[in-house]
Amino acid sequence: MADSQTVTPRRPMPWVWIGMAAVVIPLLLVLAFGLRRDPRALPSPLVGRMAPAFGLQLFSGGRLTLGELRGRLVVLNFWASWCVPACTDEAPVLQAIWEQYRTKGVTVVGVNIQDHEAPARTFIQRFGLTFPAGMDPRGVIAIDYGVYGVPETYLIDQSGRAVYKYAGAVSVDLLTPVMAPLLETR
Amino acid sequence: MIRQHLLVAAWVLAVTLTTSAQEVDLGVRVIASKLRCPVCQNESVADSQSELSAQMRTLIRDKLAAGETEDQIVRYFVSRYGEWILLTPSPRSAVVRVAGAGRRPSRWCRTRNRLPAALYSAAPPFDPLAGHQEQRRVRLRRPSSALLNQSFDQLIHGVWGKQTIGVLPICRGCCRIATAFKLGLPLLHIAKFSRQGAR
Repeated sequence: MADSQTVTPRRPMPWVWIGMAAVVIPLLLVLAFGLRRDPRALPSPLVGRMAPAFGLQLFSGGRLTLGELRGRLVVLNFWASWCVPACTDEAPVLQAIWEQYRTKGVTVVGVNIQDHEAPARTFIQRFGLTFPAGMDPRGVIAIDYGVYGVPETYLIDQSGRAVYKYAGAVSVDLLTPVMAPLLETR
Repeated sequence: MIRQHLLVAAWVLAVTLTTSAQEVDLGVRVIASKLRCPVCQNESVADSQSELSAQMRTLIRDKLAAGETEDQIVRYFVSRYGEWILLTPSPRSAVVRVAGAGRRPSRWCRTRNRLPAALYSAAPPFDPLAGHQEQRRVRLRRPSSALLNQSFDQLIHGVWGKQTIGVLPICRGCCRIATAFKLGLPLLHIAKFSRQGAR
C-alpha cells in the first residue's frame, strides 16, 4: 500500500531538455562554423603583417629582392620538383596567372625549397615557367615565412603586407577572388 | 723553443674552439628541443630527421653564433609559426589563459553551491509513508536527485582529486551548468506546483 503511494509518474523534466539544448546547440554551432572553413587556408601569424624581406638567387641568374617588387601584388609560391601532384597541378595555374596578370601589376615568384638544382631546372623547363623562380637551399626564406611544406602560397600586397596564405595547390578560381580587390585598390 | 710555443698556442686555440662549438651544439639542442617539428607528428626539431628540422637547427646555430639569445630565437620561431611551434605553450598563450580563467568560475561555483544547501537545510526528512501531495511538497524543498543534492564541485574533487580539477576547465564548465540547474530547479518546482495548485 505504501509502495504504491510512493511511485510517482516520471515525465521528462524541463531542465533535462534545457540541458540537452545547452550541450547540443553549441556543438552544432561549432560544427557549422568548422565545416564552412577551408582547412587549407592556414592561420599564419604573418598574415596582416609586413612580409619578411628576402633575397632570392634566381635560376635565370641575378637576384630578386622583395623590396624591388614594392607596388606590385606578389604571389609568392613555395614549391619542390618532387612534390607530386600538388606542385605539378599548380605550376600551369601559376604560369597562367603570371601571363594574365603581369601587365596588371602582379608578379609570381617561385621559391624552390628542400630540393636539388638539376631536378628543379627540369621542372621549370617541363612546365615552361617564365616567372621569376629561384632556390632557397638553406630554407631561410621558407622558415622566415613559416612554411610547413610544399606547396604553400602567400599573397603580398602592394605595400609589402602579407594578406593571404594557402597550403596546397592553388587554382585560378581560388586566387582570382582574393586578388581582385587587391588589384582594385591600386 | 718557438716551435713549442706555437704548438701550445695551437692546442689552446683548438681546445677553445672545441669548447665553443660544444656550447653552441648544446644551445642548439636546448632550443630545438623546445620547438615542434612542423612536418612531423609530436616530434621536436631536435629529434626530427626531416630536412626542414635540419634547416631549422642550422638557422638556430647561425643565430646563436650571431649572438642572439635563446629567448630571442624562440620568439623568432613563434613570430613565424605561432604558439603552435612550442612543444610547451608559454604562460602567455591562449590555452593557458583559458585554463587559468577556469579558476574563477570554479570559485564562483563553490560559493554559489552553498546557497541552495542553506535553503534545503530547513527541509523536513523524507517520509516514504507520506501521501502523494505531501511528497510533492517535500520534494519542493529538497533536491530531486542525489547528484544535484551534492555539491558538484565536491563530487569532482572526490572522483578525480583536488589537483586534477586545476587542469580541467571543462569540469568547471560542467560545474557551472550544474549549479545553474541546481539554482533553477526550485524555481521550476515552484512553477510546476503552483500550476497544479491552480487546477
